[in-house]
Amino acid sequence: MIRKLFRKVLQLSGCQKYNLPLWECPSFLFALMGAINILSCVYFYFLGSKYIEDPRLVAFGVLTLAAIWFVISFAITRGLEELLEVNKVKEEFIDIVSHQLRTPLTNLKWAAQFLITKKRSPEEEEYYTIIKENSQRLESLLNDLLIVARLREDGIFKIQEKFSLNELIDETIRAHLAFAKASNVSIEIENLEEPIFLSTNRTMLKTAIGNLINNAITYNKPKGKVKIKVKKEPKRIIIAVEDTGTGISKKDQKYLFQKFFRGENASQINTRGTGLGLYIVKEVMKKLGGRVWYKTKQGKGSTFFISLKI
Amino acid sequence: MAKVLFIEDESALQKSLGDLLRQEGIEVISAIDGETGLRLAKETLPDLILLDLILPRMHGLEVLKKIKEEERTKDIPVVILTNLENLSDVEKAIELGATTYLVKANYSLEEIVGKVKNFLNYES
Repeated sequence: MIRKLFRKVLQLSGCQKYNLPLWECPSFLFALMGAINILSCVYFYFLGSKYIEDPRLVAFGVLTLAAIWFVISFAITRGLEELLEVNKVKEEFIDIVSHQLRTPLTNLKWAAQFLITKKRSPEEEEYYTIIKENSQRLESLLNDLLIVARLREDGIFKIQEKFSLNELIDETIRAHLAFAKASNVSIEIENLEEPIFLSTNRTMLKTAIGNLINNAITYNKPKGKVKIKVKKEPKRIIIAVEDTGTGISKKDQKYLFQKFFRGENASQINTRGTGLGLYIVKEVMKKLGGRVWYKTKQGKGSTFFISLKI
Repeated sequence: MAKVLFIEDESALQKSLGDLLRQEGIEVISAIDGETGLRLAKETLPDLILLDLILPRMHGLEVLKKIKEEERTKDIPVVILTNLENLSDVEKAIELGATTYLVKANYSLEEIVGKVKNFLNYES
């Protein structure tokens, strides 16, 4: 009954389209504040008229105050509603971008991947690889920007499925093998004999692990190694990505997970980075109920850990 | 030979994924709009349907609903293959009976082919 009433009020307030609960709905809060205002006016009027000789003075004071409150709260409510409208437009824009921009990119990527499966001359292979790698690069940049734009929404993180972590890691490593080979870096995996099943957002976890592997290859030394280790504890699972790169300087460490931050070494080694990779890992893991941390030694390399509850 | 109905309005995707599936020995029937896709599903009774969501003439979710309503086609597994990834689309598709929901941009061509082969083996 009460739930039905709440739903009806929410419908009337127009906040349903923003997916807002009643207690966060500006127009409902405005109406509630108005009701409280009127009641307090009446209460203070009667209270005042009991102790003050001329109740009209009290009425005037209370009404003036109520009018000021009314104007201020109306302005606040309008402002909040405009912000909500802007946010809704932003979400719709992201949906359009995600579909309309990614579709031609997928066309390009899949066409190049198909051509690579065919017999070809070394020169053709080189050109197909250029198309494939660059479309993947563009797609990964677009994906990063979309993830950053969506980090404030919970919707995408509510898409959960049960999947094998072993397969996910395997898939993520395979996606980075060509890049690792081109960078003269080898990838090894340890402790993944036991099948582990997780129930979370697969795509987002894959993005986080992929970003760590990508960094471990990018900032490694030639002939370096990337080791991926999985540790199962009673209540959580820890995935470690270890590299034999240059390590992170003390100066850079405190800004490491900040949006668009690029360390001094990082900018010299890879000029193409956006500084979004580790920020995304941190925010994604937070949304998935996990965390990320690292240990590093200059000149020796770094290990990044992510953990998730099981 | 396993039969896959691929309902997708992007001719480039029809070509790359369709050709690679054919190369793997899978028969591929193509439809470039929702209405044709629905008609072909009823006529050819494929082993698997790959279905895009943004389609001309009939939205993918409507196609899915009609496939699951029809007695002859309701047991055919339907894999949603799209670049839309908002929660409401995923929820609606799963609620209507889609086997799974794959975002094209998150997979390589080989991964999609691998998944199609897994679905076909699983079903047979």
